[in-house]
Amino acid sequence: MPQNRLPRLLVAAALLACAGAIAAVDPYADRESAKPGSEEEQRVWSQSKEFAEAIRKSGIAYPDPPLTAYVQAVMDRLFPEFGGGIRVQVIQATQLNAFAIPDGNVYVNLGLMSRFQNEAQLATVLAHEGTHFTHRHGFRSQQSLKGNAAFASVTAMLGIPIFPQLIAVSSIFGFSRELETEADNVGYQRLLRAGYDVRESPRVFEHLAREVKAGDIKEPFFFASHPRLQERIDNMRKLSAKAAAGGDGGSRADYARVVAAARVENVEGQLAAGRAKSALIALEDPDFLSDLPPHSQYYVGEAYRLRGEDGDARKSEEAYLKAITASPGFAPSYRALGVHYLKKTQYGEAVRNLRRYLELAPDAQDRAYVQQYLTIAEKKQGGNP
Amino acid sequence: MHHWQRMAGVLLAMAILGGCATQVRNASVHKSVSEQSAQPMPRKLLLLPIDIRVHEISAGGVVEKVDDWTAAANANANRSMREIGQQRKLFDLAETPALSAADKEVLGQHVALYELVANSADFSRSGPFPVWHERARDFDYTLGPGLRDLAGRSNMEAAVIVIGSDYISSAGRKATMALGVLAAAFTGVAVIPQGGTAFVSVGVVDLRTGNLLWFSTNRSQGNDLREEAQVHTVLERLFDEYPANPVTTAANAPK
Amino acid sequence: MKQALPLLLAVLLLAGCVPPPARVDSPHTEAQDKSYTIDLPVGWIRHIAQDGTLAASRDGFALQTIGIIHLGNDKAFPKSKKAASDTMLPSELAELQIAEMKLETEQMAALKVIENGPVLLGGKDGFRVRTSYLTQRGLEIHRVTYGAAAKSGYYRLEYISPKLHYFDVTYPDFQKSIDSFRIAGADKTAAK
Repeated sequence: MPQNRLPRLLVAAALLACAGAIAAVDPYADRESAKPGSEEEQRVWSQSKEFAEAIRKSGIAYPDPPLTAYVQAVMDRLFPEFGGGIRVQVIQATQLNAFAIPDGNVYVNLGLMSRFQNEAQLATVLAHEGTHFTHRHGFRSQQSLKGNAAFASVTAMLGIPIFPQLIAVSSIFGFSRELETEADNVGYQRLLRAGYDVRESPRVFEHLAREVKAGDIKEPFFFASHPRLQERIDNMRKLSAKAAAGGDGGSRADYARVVAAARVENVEGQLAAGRAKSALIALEDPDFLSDLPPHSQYYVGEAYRLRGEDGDARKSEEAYLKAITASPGFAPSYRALGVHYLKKTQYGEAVRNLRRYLELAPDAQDRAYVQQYLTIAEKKQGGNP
Repeated sequence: MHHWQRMAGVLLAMAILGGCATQVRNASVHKSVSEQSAQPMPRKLLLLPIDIRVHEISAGGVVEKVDDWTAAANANANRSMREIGQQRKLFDLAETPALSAADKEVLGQHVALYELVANSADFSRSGPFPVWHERARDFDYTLGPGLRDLAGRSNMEAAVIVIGSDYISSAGRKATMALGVLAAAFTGVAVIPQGGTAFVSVGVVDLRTGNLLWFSTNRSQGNDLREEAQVHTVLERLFDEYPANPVTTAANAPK
Repeated sequence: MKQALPLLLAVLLLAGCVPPPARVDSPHTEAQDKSYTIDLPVGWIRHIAQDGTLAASRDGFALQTIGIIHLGNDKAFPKSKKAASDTMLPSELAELQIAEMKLETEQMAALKVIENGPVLLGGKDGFRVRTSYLTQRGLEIHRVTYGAAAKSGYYRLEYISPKLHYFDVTYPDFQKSIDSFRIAGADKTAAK
């Protein structure tokens, strides 16, 4: 068993062991009432504030004020009586994840933002996460875990207390089945009240489940295990079974405009982290690709190159060529094609493309590599440059 | 996680456990001070916000920082520092002046660096490896000269930084220790709290050079930092070895 | 006595049969598996892990670390499960190394690449990448990673230090170590 999976499995076992022992507390009614109700809850809030501060200082928040404002506006529409009291932040991470911490901070990964198809799907997840806050699920889980001896052992294995247990539990494993179901049900009512198209609610989870399955993704987060994700789908199907047509937030094009830059950033992040398979799940979707800028076939080519399965070299070449046709001024396509031809010993083509790259991007960070490859290709070509 | 990071995590765990096994109390003096006996320690010290965190460990092992206890420990330490400085005529303390946002940022970065420097100095002095003890004898830890401008503007030569932690535990916590050490090998994260262990470190930093002029730590069982008298006792012990005290100026090596 | 068991466990975990940490008095150092040689900075303290990983520091691992690791090419990038090969272009190796670093922790996903270029490392074409990231306290850490693949495996040499004061102070020591690094049996194989 890979060593990094062991602690997760042990914590999952501990959570199962303590499920059902969760104390009830009244949900927060509005922003005024959203305060710690006891000294013990204050501790949980204090821990959350430190976590939020660490997120801020470690520079992993996605710095896009218009996008942040947009996501915040959706949350405020869902929870109007909390008037900005549930704060949403997009995180620079490509995994399909979102989580809430007990003081009202909610985090959505860039990877998840990028893969929603419309605002109603985003709202589904925000309503669910917002409910974790309003119904004080973080505090309730913490209380149930405090007396659990099994938990002590396994949280030690996660390196706690540097990473607070509470955050570890809520973000990595989700809450108990009871609390997740409550978040589904209450969140669904929020969506209805805010006028969103609730038929999108099961679709967001179905759509993401397909991605998880197709990509053989073993993300340690929101969609950690298929049974949990399947529970979300089943719940949402039941809730929305009799939903009437209509409602807001179903426009794919409107959402695509808002997240255009974030989607490019996410694809680049996936490729930089070598997550070619995950990237290709989205990039092979013609609708998704059509919402990206004209040069995006370059990312398709890079994803095939990095995946490196049989036939991928040819697919990447085709994609680079398409990218050059669609966007002749986009330099990276020429570098990628030049390196591709260099490896195929097509030195003339390599020289032509690498030179073009250096013309278009004279200050590129990787100029020294490209210059080196160009020299090799020129020598092999046998002629003078 | 890179291999050397994991290695460092295990080393730190060992240092912590090693320190817990016996009461460690000693001070180190920067060699620029110890080599020039004529150079006095600064008289006026800027007291940076004290950061002692007091936690409770539940029966289930959940660690929670408790704000009220933390505030009490910090207030206790603040009072004690003033009393010790005045009674022993070691130093006068000044509070941090109002700073611009830029100065606050610079100071914050240096306090973050100080934590790494203090951990490294503590490990070299109190860790399990004799070769690091030798390193600690040549005590020249520093933050670098990045605070020089701030020193000029605040008209302060040196600052004193007090950090610490206390874990108030319930029964049964100690049983998890063995597993915790194993966890360090998995994760590289090696801070494993043990109930009843109080840790306080005090450093005096020359703001012009960044040199850690004096550094002392106290790691003890049984002191409760929520209690004013116990905080005072811990700090008094630490300042027994302050260079102004002729009995202990040579105490520059780990024991 | 209550602390004796965990301490013993930790010692066993760390030490195994490896030599205790030692001060570097003579710079010339040979890998346990004799796959490379390197000059480490005199006066630094050297630790060797059971798998042969070499780590050295002057003031403490949190303040500066030089690390050297030799891995089989098929185990070069365990997080991404990718292999290295001596036929790879240096930029391709660098790309895999950056991906590996980004997969280390969630925080490292925001790792920034500051410099990335080809070098000759120990007689082999390789790469040098400088990256930075922030700690949870907002302290900027810089990391310089050299890598090269030979038939005998993948070699990675790193220097990690806070940018504030420490990075510049001991970087020249690391650079001297890099200049002295030799892969056993490697020819001088500049870009073909």
